[in-house]
Amino acid sequence: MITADHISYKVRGSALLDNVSALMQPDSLTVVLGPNGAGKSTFIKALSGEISVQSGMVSIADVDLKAWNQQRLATRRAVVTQFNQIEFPFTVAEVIMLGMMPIKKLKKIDHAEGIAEEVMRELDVLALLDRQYATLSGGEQQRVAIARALVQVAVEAKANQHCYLLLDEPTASLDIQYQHELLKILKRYLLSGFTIVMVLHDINLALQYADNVILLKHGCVVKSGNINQVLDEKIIEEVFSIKGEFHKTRAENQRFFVIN
Amino acid sequence: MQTLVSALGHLHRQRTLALILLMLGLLVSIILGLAIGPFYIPVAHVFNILLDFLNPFVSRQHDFVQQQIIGALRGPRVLLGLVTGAALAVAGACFQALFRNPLADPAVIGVSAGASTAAVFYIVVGQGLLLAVFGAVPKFALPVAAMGGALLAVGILYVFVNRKAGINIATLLLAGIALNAFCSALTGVLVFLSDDQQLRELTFWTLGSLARAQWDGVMPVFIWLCLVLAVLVTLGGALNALAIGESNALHLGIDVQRIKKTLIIFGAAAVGVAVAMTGIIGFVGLVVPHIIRLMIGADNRYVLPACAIMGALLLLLADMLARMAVQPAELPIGIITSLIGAPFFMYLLTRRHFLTQ
Repeated sequence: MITADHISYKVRGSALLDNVSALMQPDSLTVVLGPNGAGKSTFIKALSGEISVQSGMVSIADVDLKAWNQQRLATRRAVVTQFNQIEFPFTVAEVIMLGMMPIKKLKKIDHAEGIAEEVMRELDVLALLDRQYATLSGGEQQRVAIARALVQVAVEAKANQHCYLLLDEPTASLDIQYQHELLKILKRYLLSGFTIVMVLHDINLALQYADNVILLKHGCVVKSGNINQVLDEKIIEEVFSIKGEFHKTRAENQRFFVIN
Repeated sequence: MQTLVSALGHLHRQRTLALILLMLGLLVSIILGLAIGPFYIPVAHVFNILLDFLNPFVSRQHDFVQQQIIGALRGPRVLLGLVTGAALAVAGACFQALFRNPLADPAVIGVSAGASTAAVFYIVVGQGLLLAVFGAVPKFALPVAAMGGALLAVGILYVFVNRKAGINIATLLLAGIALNAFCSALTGVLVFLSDDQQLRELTFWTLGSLARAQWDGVMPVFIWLCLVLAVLVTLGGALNALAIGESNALHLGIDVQRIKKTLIIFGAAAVGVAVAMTGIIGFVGLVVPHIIRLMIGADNRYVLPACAIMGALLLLLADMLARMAVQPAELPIGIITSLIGAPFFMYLLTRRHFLTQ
């Protein structure tokens, strides 16, 4: 479980996060939705400790984020940021094995490569192994970055430790097939004890895969909770200033949103 | 289909082999550095004299002149070239990792400029002042002044750039530009004030040379730089993490702020002392890491030691050229490294461009 308890983050007087409280349940996928500039990335940065909030507290597994041993935390919590450029000629294999760095510092891992390879197969990056990371397409780089993050927590996840994933727009440069592939993979991870929080822009992708939603606007939480209960025409109009309708697919009774 | 184990194993073998070859190359260039010069000493004699130095209990008869040339002239010179070459190259690789920019150079953040401005200040003003006050000029006043300048430059950068939130790399680079501009203006004023003889000295010093090498000066520098390099070379793993971005490194549990501070302080200590002893020797810190990455890829756990070896090797070869090109006089080594380094760097740039297209 990840909790944000009345967190605020201001830069030169303007509040990027204003007294935000949210509870991200274990074994569930929580999606953060909101218009541009709502504070979604800042929220993820606050949860990951990249920025330290000026008031309030972030805690992971009921332990203050600041009180965590950073090395130990890194073996159980991985982050996919929006920044994944590398200027040096690292190969894909090297980039992904960087994810093993935290766990290797703490203990000796026998089948590190095997575990990493499993994740790489899942994300379909095994064939890119020898390629230089910088020569990959944006989508390929994104998949490698996600694979690195999953490798980072893979060992502890296998040992039945609860793990945490924070992803900032992980689907941004993926094609429609890989967007769904990724979310299906992440859904599978939930079964083995994960708390997953991600920023998304696609409401329909969120409706299809997320369990819970946090709606942000102007750095404040507009509403949060079960995605099907929270999202309706009125709140979408309030948050995004667009009018639309929710419909359901005939086959699977899956809700989807169409703009009028 | 290739597996991760075999891919990583292949990289490891390739890199280990490259390190061994570089090491052999360095040994050869050390021997050649001692043998070659206006007065040639046969390689077999160099070996014998070296063995005798290492084993003082066995005394053999050697040509006195050869022994003196190696012991008093070429020995300290080779040792100085070795350690400054290594320091410049490793510092270059470290600053590049720090700035996440393969084009960054120790000179970028103004450390070299700080060192050279302080040296110029000493030559034009300080020397006369010391003579007037103490009636004598201390032996190492010039290198000490240059080192002070380098440390002052880092100190200023550190005070201005270091914020509670950490060191912002863009700010550091911009501050480096400002510092460079300020130093070069200051140097300009000093050059304008200097007389003919000082101007000659300035020119020689700013072009870089190993000719000042003497045991009593080289030994402390050698030990100092070895310690600094030992710290920097252990940072390889952390630098790899830094390469995927500061925030990503942070999420891997790396203490990013501490690593950055270590890089800045120890990198500056390496460059400052190297510049202090030899003057400005350009392009070593820029070109060596590039060649190494082309050879063995980007993994800094290998790149840093490889840079140390390659930097040493390259500087020894350049010094041999400097001694041989216009004998009995010698060229400043900075001219050689720039003459070879600049076009080579241009070549690398076009290649790099070609690769990414």
